[in-house]
Amino acid sequence: MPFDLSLIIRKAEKFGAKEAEAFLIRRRKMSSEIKGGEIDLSSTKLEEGVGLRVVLDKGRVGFSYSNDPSKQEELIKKSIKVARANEEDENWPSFPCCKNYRRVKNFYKEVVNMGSDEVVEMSKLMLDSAKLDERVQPFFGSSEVTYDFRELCNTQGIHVEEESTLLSLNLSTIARENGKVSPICFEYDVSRSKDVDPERVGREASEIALKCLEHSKIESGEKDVLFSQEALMMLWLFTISQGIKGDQVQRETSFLAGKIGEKVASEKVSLSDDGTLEGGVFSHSFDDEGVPCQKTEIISDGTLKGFIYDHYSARKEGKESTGNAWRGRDFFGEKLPYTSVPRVATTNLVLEKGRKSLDQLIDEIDEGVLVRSLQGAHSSDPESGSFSVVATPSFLIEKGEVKGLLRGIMLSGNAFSLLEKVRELSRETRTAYFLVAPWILFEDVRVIAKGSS
Amino acid sequence: MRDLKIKTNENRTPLLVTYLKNSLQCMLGGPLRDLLEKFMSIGTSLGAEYLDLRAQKIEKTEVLLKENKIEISTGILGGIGIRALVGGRWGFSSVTKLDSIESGIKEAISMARASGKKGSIDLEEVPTVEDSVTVGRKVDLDPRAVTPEEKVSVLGEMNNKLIGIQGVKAVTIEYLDVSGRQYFCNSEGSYIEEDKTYVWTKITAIGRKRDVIVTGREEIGTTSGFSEFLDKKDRAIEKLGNRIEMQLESKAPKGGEFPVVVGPELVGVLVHEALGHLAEADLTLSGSIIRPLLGKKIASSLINVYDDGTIEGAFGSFFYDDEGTPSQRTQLIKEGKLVSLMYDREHAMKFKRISEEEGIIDEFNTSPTGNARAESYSVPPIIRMSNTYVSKGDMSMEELLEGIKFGYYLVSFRGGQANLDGTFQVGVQEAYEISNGEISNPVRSVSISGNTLETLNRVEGVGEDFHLISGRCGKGQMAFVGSGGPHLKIGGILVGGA
Repeated sequence: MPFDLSLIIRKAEKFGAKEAEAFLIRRRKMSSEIKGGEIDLSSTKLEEGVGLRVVLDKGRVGFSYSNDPSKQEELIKKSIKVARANEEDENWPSFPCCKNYRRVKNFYKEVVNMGSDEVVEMSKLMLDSAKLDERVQPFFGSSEVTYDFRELCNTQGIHVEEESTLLSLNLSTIARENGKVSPICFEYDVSRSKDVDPERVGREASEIALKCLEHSKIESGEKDVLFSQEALMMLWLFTISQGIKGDQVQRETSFLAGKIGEKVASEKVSLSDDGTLEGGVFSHSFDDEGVPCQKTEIISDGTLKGFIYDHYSARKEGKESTGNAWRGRDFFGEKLPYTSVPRVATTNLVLEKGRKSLDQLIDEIDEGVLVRSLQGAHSSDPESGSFSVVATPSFLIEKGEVKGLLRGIMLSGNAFSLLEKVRELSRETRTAYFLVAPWILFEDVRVIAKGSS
Repeated sequence: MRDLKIKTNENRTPLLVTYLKNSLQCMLGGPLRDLLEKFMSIGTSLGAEYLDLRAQKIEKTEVLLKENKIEISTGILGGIGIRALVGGRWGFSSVTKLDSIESGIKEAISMARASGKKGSIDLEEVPTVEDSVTVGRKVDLDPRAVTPEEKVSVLGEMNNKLIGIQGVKAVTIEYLDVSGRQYFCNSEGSYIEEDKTYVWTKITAIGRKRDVIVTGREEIGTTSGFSEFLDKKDRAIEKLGNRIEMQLESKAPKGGEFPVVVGPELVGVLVHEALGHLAEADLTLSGSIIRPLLGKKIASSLINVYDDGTIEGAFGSFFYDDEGTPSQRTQLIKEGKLVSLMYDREHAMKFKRISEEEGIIDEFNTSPTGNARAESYSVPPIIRMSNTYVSKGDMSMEELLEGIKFGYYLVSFRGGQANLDGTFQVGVQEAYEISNGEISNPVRSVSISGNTLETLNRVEGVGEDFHLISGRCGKGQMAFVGSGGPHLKIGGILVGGA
């Protein structure tokens, strides 16, 4: 017997729920993993499960999940039992109602049809192009194909479903020469369609690692720091992308709380959350509560315009949801979406690009740092935005030229106040996980180097 | 989704289906043994050199208490993870339905074949085990026997206590318990049942005084059951409350290199992040900085480090790892010398060969250490730590602080990360200045970084105390771990200012 969402919510009502919402995800994942310079393990995973939210009187909500379709009745009973243990919530707004949906292009048949040989071949191509230089060891990586079928059904009349595909590649390398070891260098590619380039990933992962064999030095101080999209994503994942959540703002635990209409960033900064972005890795027709995805302005020319909301936090302020309710977005490990309730989270966070090229930006730096990636960004403080991280790999920029690796330097400051120190944005943009952004040049960032204080 | 190339013996299938139907009632609950063994022989007949199968059924309760809003969730997950070694390469598949096991086995074998021709994977031998660790374990109050109402009420009390503390502006409590049984069997004849119980809580408090916002976190984790959690919660609340009050009065640290005294919690995270990951054999082989240092001195001779999965009740403890190897106490560093890595069977074999080829000292261990762990049935096991710690020495706190003109006393952390080149970064949420051998003003938002080998070599004193804490570690998969040690004095470490 397969899971039947309409039946589940009807039965939940019969068992005493005032409202119910069932969410199903069926996920097929195929991957080929690289370890220690060779293909180590290839796998297929099949998962299907349902998460059920029920509401009793006075907003008492319960949630339960299961991946056993033979126990659908037990699932309903469990979630009602859990709801009984919960407290009343006067802010409960009821589940969202039907809206107009616009199909987002996030499904490609050719990705679903890929065979294991094709997936393994992508890993091989990455390996081969990374291994062209014998000083480089591609030690860890994977090629991964994911197919998702999402379905949501609630007692307010929403019943929607969507298929999506995702193809992602990544490769980590280390280079070694004469006792010198590079830090871990990482390159990736990701797409909804088959439009990925394993050879480029391998080649670039190798080039960066080789570049790390040359070393440079810098004194501590306030410097120009040029962030790659990956580095910016890491910093923002734990700070900005938390601070723009409507529920955090309501709790007054966001630095941005109460600042709508105020200037919070350099005029060069325009930021939006766009769940409809063409080709976006986080683009969907609807969010995990069944609300259509949309584009939401957050910062426009440096002025704070708005925040992102799920249905609950939006209704609390008399607003409409921005389609930002997502499940399973945990930083630790792999959490299946049906095993968690929806929470406020970004879709594609889009930072508008600038006019100058990356080369021009570098050219205009007299002394600064180019940061490819960060280590320890998760120790940043999401509420205040303060951070203190290792910039690795990072390179010296001197008189408009990128020089050698800076070993073990730290950056510290505040992610929110840094928004005001944006000097330039490149015209080249790239996707890094949830972030679509240009290279970004901050001025006066505190750089702490070893051997100086 | 994929192309299936394996030819199957058609005659076998009807028999199997009948067998399955008869056995469905025991799906992840009863005597699964005969069934699992049946599958082993199918796998080997299809050409697998080695096959293992983990079936799991787990129940979880999660509670999120954020101010006055409570989210409660419960769930049951069951599934089977199958791993096949064919031609020296791994194939893995996971399925959630019992009637998909056979196709899962074929998938795993086919995926291993797709990985290419002859690979280099070979497994070190371990004794076959038949064991059932399902009764007689010390679990004081199974979390499944506690109603959701009771859990919510305990967490509500914790919340109220914290909110009542001056300066505390917001509180978030995350609670998780996981209970379940796991069945393991492999084509070598091992069969293991093990019950696992975890109770974990993370308390986050945000303090605010005018423009100063500080965050403090405490985690409680145990494998001893719900009672242990009840015993530990008040102490955690008290610590966190004090920390917030202190941090609100704190000042920003100076950046630069300073001598430090590091408390057990931070020693734990350092030994986990800075050393532990480098000594996970898969990462060592991937180019970690200790790869050329097997059997050599890599730390001050004051330092002894262990990874120990046998400590009763500790958060990183278990009886068997997910390859069926018993957990054990492994000495990694002996008086400064690197004497073992943490292995699974695959990497134990790889390092046995390396050790022979390179003539590494006899004292260097290359036997499997029981560190192969998987987050769930849906992922293959990888090398993970259990409880990792520095063993205690003989110095008092006064002796450790003595002679430090200016430095920092680092007490509690809020996350850390390490790179294979030996650099590490740890965020510190509770720290104090040390001036003239005495602990003085609190400082906030410190973060330390350095190089593992340099740092371990600069250990100048080892305290006589010992404390183990609980945590979660992410390496693509999440694992519950323990870490700790005594207080340590380190000659110099890079402190990043706020």
